[in-house]
Amino acid sequence: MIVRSVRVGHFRNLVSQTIQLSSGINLFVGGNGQGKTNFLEAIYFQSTLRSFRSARLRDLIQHGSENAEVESGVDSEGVPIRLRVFIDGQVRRLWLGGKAVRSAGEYLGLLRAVAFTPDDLAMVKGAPSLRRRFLDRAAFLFQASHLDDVRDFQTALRARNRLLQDASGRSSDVELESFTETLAACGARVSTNRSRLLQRLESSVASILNRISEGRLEARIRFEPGWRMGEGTDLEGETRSLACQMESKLRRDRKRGSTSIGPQLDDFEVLLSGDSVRRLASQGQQRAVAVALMLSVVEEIVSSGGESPVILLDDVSSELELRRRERLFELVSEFGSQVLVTSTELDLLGALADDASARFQIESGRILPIGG
Amino acid sequence: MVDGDRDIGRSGIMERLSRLLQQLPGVGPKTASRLMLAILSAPAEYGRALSKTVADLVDKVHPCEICGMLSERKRCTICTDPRRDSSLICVVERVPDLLAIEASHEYRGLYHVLHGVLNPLEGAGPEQLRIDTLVERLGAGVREVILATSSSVEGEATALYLKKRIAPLGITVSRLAAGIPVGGELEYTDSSTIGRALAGRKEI
Repeated sequence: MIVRSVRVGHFRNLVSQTIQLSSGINLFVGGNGQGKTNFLEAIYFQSTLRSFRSARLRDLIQHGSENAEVESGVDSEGVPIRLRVFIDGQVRRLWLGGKAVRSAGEYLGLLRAVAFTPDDLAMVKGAPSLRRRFLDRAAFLFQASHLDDVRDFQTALRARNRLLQDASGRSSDVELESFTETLAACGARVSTNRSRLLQRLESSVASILNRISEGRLEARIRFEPGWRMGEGTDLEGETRSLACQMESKLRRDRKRGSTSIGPQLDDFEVLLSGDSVRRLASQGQQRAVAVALMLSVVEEIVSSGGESPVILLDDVSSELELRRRERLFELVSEFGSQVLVTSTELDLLGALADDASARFQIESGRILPIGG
Repeated sequence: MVDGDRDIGRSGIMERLSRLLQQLPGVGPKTASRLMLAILSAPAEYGRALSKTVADLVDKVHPCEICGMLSERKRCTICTDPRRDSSLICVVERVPDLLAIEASHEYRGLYHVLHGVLNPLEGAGPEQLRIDTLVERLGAGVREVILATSSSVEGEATALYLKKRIAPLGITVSRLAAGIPVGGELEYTDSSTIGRALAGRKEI
């Protein structure tokens, strides 16, 4: 997928303007707070209808404005399409070409983008919630229904927790059991999707890691579900098993007023020659693993015959060593992906700055092409 | 100017009607003023009839004491229809769901309207729904209860809850099938629906 042009209107601090992008590597250089991340966020929002900063919709609207919009001209599977999102207060309206699109389901997938931010670089070592966020975003790219599964799971989890907190004992055991079983059905789906995703990514992660790092390391991914999952059992079996496990923790759950096992605690671990990357590897290696995880998603999409998503790299160059950075960019250009990279300084990008097909300067929300 | 202020002021009749209309679903300020002007430009009899009918609606239409469907009588026309199969009860969340099933002309049993679903986050428990009245109905002659609550988290949990309450009474409990709409193209069906239809596939 290629984004040919982007028009932003009253989006964050960005000056309302239209930017023509190159189909190769696009560099955005500017100081902190000038609007680099905001521009990548606008494209990510155009793609996924969410922000990668988990912001509220109204945070995207410029101060003093009532609404915001992003419109892009996109080559999607070789077909030029025009996507437009209009944010009016709390409401979001969508257009494909001149036609209003009623459901997000019809819109999502028309432009696929993956974002990579300094938060994602920290995912190997950081809080498990960062790794679950990675899993869910990636699973969505292969299986659109994963987002519904996660949303239903979260609703059911909040409902069950509310019943557990009900100290008055007003809620009956039968009511709690009903929500436990509903939660188990949603939860088994979420963990199964995540587990299948990791199985699918494992070999790509290993091969990419060997290309961006020195030496031959055997990389494995171990899914660590927040409950005891069976191996190769069907979804119905997993659902029954999760419900039983939750029932067996009922006394403890009532005491703490929340559900103590389930996909809300899912995690995964990458092992290099059998050693935990989280505990043993250097920071540089951990970051390289994070990069490999993200690129494995792109590689899987491309190798299964899909069109490469647009890759958004926000300020990752300052966090990666020069050598790994250069390999990262080499790989990305092998996929034939369109890439948008931000950096505070041109120098940080090394040879990439010369390979880039378009360069922009961002200052106070204004984006200007540099040089030819 | 003083009169003009009263016409558009907060306590004016037009403003009051506009605000009342805007509490209805699908009605914003523009629709409210269009409706108001239409009432004003129709013969005065129309407006009076409308207002009296709204008052009658509120005073005389109540949930049926058996099934919860709205009716002018204590018992609705469905519950009192001797041609309907009283051994079947279909449980729905709301009145519009009942009307949708009726419109299919496929179902000749009786109904039970819960007027909501279990929703702990909004404080709706079994006692807020018409569940006890449902269980009371299950004494004699009921053979099967069909659960037609929605496929949302709350709808599914409500169906499970009802199954747990009803199944011990020795009554068959069934759930409405979820899947591909009739005449629907697979290609245009969203992936969650396809997933559920696959999971619930049947041998033929």
